[in-house]
Amino acid sequence: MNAVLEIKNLTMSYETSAGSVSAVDNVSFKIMPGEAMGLVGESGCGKTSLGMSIMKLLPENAKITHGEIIFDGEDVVAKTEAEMRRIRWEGISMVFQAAMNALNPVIKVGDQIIEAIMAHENIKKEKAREKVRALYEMVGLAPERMVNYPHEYSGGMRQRAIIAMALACDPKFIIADEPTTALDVIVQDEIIDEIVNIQRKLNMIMMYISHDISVIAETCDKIGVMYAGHLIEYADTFALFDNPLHPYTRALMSSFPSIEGPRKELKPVPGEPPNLLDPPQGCRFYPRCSHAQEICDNQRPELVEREKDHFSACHRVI
Amino acid sequence: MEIVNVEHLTKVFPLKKRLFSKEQPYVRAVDEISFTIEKGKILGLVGESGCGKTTIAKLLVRLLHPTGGKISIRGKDIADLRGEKLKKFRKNIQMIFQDPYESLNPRLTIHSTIAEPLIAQGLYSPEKIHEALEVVGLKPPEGFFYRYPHELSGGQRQRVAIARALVIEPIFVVADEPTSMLDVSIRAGVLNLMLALKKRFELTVLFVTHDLAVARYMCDDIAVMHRGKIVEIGNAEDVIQNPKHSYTKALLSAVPIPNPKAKRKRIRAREKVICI
Amino acid sequence: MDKNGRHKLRLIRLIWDLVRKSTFIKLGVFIMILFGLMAIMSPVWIHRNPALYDPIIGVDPDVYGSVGPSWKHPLGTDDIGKDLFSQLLRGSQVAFILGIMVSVVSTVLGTGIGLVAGYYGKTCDTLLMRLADIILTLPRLPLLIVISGIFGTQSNWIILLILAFTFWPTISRVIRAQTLSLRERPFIESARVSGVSDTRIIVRHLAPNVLPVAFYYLTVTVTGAILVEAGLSFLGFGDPSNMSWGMMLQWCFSKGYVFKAPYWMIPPGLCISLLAFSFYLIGVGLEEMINPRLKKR
Repeated sequence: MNAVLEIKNLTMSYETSAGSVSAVDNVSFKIMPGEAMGLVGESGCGKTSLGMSIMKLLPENAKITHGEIIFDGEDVVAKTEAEMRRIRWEGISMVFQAAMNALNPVIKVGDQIIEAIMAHENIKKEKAREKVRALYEMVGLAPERMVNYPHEYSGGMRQRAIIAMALACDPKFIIADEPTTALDVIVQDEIIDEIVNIQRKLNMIMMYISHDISVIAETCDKIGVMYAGHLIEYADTFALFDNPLHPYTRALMSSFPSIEGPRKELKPVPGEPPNLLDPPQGCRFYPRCSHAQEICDNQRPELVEREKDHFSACHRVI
Repeated sequence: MEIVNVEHLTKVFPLKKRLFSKEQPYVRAVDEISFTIEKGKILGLVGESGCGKTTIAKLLVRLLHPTGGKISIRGKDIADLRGEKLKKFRKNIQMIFQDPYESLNPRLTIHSTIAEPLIAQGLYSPEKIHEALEVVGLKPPEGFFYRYPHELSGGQRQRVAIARALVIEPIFVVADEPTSMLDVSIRAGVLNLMLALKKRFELTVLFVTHDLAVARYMCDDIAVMHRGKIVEIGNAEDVIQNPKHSYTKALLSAVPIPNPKAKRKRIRAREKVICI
Repeated sequence: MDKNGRHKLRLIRLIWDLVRKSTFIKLGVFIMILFGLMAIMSPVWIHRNPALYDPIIGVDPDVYGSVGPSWKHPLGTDDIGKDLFSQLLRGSQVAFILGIMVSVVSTVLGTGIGLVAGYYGKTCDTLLMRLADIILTLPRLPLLIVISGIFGTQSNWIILLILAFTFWPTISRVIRAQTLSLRERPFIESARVSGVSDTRIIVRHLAPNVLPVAFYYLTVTVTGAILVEAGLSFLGFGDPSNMSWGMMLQWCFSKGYVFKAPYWMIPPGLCISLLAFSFYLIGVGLEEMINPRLKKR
């Protein structure tokens, strides 16, 4: 079986007045058909930059300097803007952070989705409307609400509408970047449920980007952990939680309090993430790592398969 | 010993009046809330956005004036205090805000920021500023005196905010979502710091948050709020493990858990809900 | 005092950075310096021969009617033989001093009122802003005539007062709007929770944050002041005991030399435009910097 999405050695940076910021450095992974992959990490780790790179929605000063993004057999990096416009929405679709504020306040919500569909497919308005009605059912919105304006929707409803819009052109691949951050816990739970169900039903692949490892735990089959632009661990969800190999993954997990199980003490990670203007040569987690060795400072560890289908970029072998 | 005693606290906000109507509609943001906090304990105030928890936080530090009810701090009712009396009482109650970017004046140095409460209360001394920074883990303090907020990271800024709140030695601190805007790995450090400081200075704390997991970690007792009322209040472990009110149960069942095995059981049990 | 010293250094560095980075500001400052030199030159020029070159009383007895430029009179003379160049130099002084004083007074007044109105809100705000509205409707020329009449004299001081009085409302509106939004920010709430007095909050916490905008209005108001003063003088309401560019134009016009003596008519008009423009350029340059700065975290 071939991977639907394959990222090979992707390297990307931003040009700023202060210099070149290395945002994504030599990242590689695959998403197989039907899989949901979670990309977890803190702010500045490069996960959002990675998502935007796949959609080629990068700002002027961003450059993909190396690597390939192979979607459905074709390399996206080489494509022109015109070609990308066809791929977006139809092939790859994205739900952004706080996307619910991206709805046009003076156009009815249903009409906005109809517009999106008609811009990409050659179908009559009535057919498009039918489609939107079906989408509403799928995301858990009452179709009667298609005629309302965004301000008449609650935050959760707006987010569902955005998800409906992302699904409108039957994409094969959905990238969701913190789709529930601005929402309340109960609404968040419903939305996440919805997303998982839809992904399974339509047999799409999904990339779920978040800083919240709890949410990733319940939605994704595989997890990639990013730190300072590097992919430092990659494994099946259960395997990752059972036995996190990389010190950063362990540190990350022990900084999430839980309502389940015994009340354990949170262990903070000392120090700060590195300055990406001048990243260290060796392992980027080295200064904060409690298991650091000399080799970690000099040589950047490669992402190596340590256990079956469980990759870690660390010199330390447990 | 009771430090904080809130009785029938109420706050209403007027809404926009309809054009030709005589009635003034209003919303009861806080509706007859009562609770007490013992010395050295942390009470968590948990709820979703719009439930009134931030309003209660602001009422307790008198950024807002209550519409009704009593707020007793060490026996004295501060609900209706004004002017000089209020100013003197402010020494005892301080607040830590949510946004590390917005809670520090961008034009003041760290030194000046921490000096402000001391000057306002007539307690200024350079040693206190030095000590405050040390106590929150910003070492060496001199290195931070003349820096500006934008030169500091989110975690460092929040530590400055904590230092500022504690420098005038209050007996009661209200923390309004102090870590929700911080990165996860930084959060743990700040939370542990707050626990250590609470212990060291025997502080009484009201900890407002929407995150039940954080509330469980930090608090001795938890009060769950919904639409301006407290629906359940009790010992933290009790409320989390044996919730009694249906809203508390709904809230707890919606919290994501960082354990893939636990969650899979729950997803199968829930039903789909259609938003109308 | 090391702390203060550090701050002053920072301020100087800030200003130098500002000047360096913006072409607008560089150009504006350059022109401004040229006129500054003119203003400084004024007493030096007069000193050469006060009887000849004093802009008010100096007169060339060898000249009949207005004559064109010569070595003795670089810009020529007016119809009674007064040197035009010294008039121009003096006009530069007046423009600068009047412009800057009006600007400073109205900005300080406007900022203060804006801060107070914005911070206290409710009745105080309504009263002050209604006052501002009323003042904005007052026409300057009739006001000038009335006040001059009351005091029985036309003087630059009265002009200064009128201008400052009619310029502050615009500034106060903008500062008030800024204050309203700043007031709700957590660092102000924090100051209130600490028991910081209202006055101190306004002066120490709010004022420094509105300063960039106030500074911008400082420069823009100079432009306005120069132009309005020129207009008032041109209409004949300038201070007769002094000389300004507007007055030069007034004399030229009223004596009928507008089309006969371009050396008389063009320089003052050009100077008014250029100096006003130079401050405007500085304002534009500042605005460029204010906007991204205000949004910066």
